[in-house]
Amino acid sequence: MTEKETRAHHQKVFEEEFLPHADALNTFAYHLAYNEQDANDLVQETYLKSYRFIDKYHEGTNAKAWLFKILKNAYINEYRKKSKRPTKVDFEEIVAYHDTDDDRVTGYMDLGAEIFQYMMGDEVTTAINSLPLDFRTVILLCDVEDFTYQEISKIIGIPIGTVRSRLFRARNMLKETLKKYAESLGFQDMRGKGKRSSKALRNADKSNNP
Amino acid sequence: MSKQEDLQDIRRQVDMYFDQALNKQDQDQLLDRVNTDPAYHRVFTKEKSMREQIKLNIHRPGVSPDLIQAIKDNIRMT
Repeated sequence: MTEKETRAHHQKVFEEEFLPHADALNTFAYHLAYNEQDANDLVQETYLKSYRFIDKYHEGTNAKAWLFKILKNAYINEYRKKSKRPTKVDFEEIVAYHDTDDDRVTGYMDLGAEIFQYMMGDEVTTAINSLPLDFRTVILLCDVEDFTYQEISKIIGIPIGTVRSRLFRARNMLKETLKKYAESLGFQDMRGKGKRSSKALRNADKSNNP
Repeated sequence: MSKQEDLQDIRRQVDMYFDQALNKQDQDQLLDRVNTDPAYHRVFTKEKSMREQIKLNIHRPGVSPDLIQAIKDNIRMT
């Protein structure tokens, strides 16, 4: 192939296999960086890098996972550069230190489906964004983007067992946060506390306090 | 296994199902139990709802046509 043909081929691969993932990449970037401008910059940088190293990409394979890995690395490099807490405890190191493959350390957090009727939608985004970076990342990759454990392991560079345990902890933290939001909006978890439902209690409360 | 351990085990299986981490045989077995065992059904329904709510409500800013054009322009200059 001539240089011109190679370039045309690379642009074809770029537009057909890489660009379709722009929305997903931007969502991921937004929830890492917390603002749209930084997210856009990360996405641009990711695509620039992906094109520079397009020779390393095997056509027809997992472009999405490859792009997410590039974006994750770009974010980490930027995050470390901008970190203004050199003398403070690095929470991410603590998370990594205590990471185990054992997800029986604490029990599963139970969350009733009815809790979501108390929420407007922003609470889910806020709750996810409140998670520490390592936990937020696995939730975004698994529960939002449907990557498998194996794909997440390659994107983040951690063992599959650690992916599982981190997801387990992240989901428990997320459910705890969502439960607190719902409780602040008036939800009472009456499961196992008596025959009266939470709705009945709210109605009783209203009639006592018009 | 105690009742609590049973519940933990059900939740672990359900998590793996939604994480696409079960093979076909284990998936089918889990779905059979979901259809026949109330405990499995409860856990499965709750987790399904949770996952759906996350996907439905997560903020997705979207990519503007200008950004896509900027990306394409950058590539052409490389």
